[in-house]
Amino acid sequence: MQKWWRLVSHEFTMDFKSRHVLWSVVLFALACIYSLYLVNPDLQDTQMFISFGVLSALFSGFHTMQKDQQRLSKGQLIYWYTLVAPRTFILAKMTYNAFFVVLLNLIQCILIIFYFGTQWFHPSSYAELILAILAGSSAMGIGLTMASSIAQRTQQPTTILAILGFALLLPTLFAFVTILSGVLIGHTHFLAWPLIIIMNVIPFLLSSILFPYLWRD
Amino acid sequence: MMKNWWKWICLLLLMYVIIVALVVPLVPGSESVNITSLHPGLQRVEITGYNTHFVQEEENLQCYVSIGKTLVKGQNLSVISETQAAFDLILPDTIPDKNVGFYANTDYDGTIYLSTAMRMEGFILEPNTPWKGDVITVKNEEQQFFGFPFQPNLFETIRNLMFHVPMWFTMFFLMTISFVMSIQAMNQKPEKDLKAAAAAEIGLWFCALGLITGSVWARFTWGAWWNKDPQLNGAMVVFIVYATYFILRKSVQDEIKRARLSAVFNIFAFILMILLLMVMPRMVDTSLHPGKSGNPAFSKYDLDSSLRMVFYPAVVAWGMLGYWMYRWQTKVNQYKNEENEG
Repeated sequence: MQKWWRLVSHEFTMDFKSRHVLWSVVLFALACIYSLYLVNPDLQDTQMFISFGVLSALFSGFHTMQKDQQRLSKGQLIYWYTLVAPRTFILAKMTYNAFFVVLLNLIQCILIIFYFGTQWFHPSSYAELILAILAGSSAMGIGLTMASSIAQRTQQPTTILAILGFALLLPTLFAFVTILSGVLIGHTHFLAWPLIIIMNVIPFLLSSILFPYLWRD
Repeated sequence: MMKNWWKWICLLLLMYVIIVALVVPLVPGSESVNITSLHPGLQRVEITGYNTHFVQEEENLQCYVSIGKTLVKGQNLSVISETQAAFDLILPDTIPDKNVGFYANTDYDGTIYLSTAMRMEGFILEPNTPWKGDVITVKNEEQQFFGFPFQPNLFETIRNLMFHVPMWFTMFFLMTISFVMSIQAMNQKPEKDLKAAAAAEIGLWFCALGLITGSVWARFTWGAWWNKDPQLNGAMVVFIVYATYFILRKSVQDEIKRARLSAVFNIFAFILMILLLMVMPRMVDTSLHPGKSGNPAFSKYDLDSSLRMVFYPAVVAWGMLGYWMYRWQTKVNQYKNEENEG
């Protein structure tokens, strides 16, 4: 537990040290939303914002993973593996990435409201909306970390990450969109919340069981 | 010869399934009537059947119409062709009910029935009308020969049940094999990885066949090759996920590493498949797919068990074929592996 926390805080320090990478990810989110604003400043369609928001969340998730992959060279990985158990390592990475994606998506949500106003924005409950963004984004972060940890061991990590991530994230995206439209438009299906919680838990459990096997190179 | 007995059974069953599924006719049914509204007094109604024998059974033919629970017999019956007959219908001003059904009965075809929405023009609706109707004596309710059930909209496409549904059952079967082999491959047995890959490959073929047969069926019953349907999208995503599995395999050179990586992915893909095909289609209430969101599946209308007689052998036969192909593919994979090593 203590090691886990040390690893998470280490990720923080590493990201803080290379702030330009951090800012580039945030800048990308800003550019994404601002270009949507330039294309159609009068957009007020809630459904459109949901699909766009989820799409840009996906982008920021992939960017987070790329940032992660670039930082860890093969030598560094081996160095880490000599220091901590693989399970602690992957769980710490998942925690940090989930946190990072949640943060990015909250920033994006604020940016959308900043540019497009609040005429379209009438959530049935703010607590539920925040919970939805939290659960959906962390599921994205966790799922993508798992895909990334598989992709990292292949010859073309970036391409494989894109393909694997798309495949692994589709149920998450589906549940995320269902919950968001439930909060912003109405009628959430009762299975959407369990599904997104499952999509949070399964990659977490699976990688904590399977990652030690992957590690034995 | 005796060693491969199950392969012979598989071939025989497949032959039985394909021949019977394509050759057995549909039981008689009624397709349409030529009118869209009814009015009091005399009117001529033409009823069109499917696979019926009106000319052959001309003297036995009876046509009648039900208004609520009352039956009205058709007069001046004339047979136009084997599938078409016309009759006069005389209706009173006051009727007890607005539900109309059209019937035609012959000894050979049994009773065929069509219930369509009719515009009722100029009737007085009086639920307690004392109206006896005509006495109709029907000798034979059931058709005389063996056939698949006749369903409006489905017609001949009901045969797809013997091809489309077993494809998915076989895919589930093979993916389960692949899942089990992957778990074993994780536990210090990298050689099982080749088996997992073989099962997933054949399963992917069955998935593709399931998508194709479903798509062709949808074109003729729903009107489009692809619909906005959770069941279809889930199946497509499963296809993509398992196709990804092979891309992942191809991008790792080292054998043991490949075994571990693809096993991890395969375990996750299997859980995703369960989620996508079993859970997510139930999340949406607007599925067109039979058996989902209250749509009838085959067991609901299959009263005479004629479909079951072919469907269960079909499931076994396609499953055996899948298993056979899986064993074959395993050998191919092993040869390829040895070749690469040597």
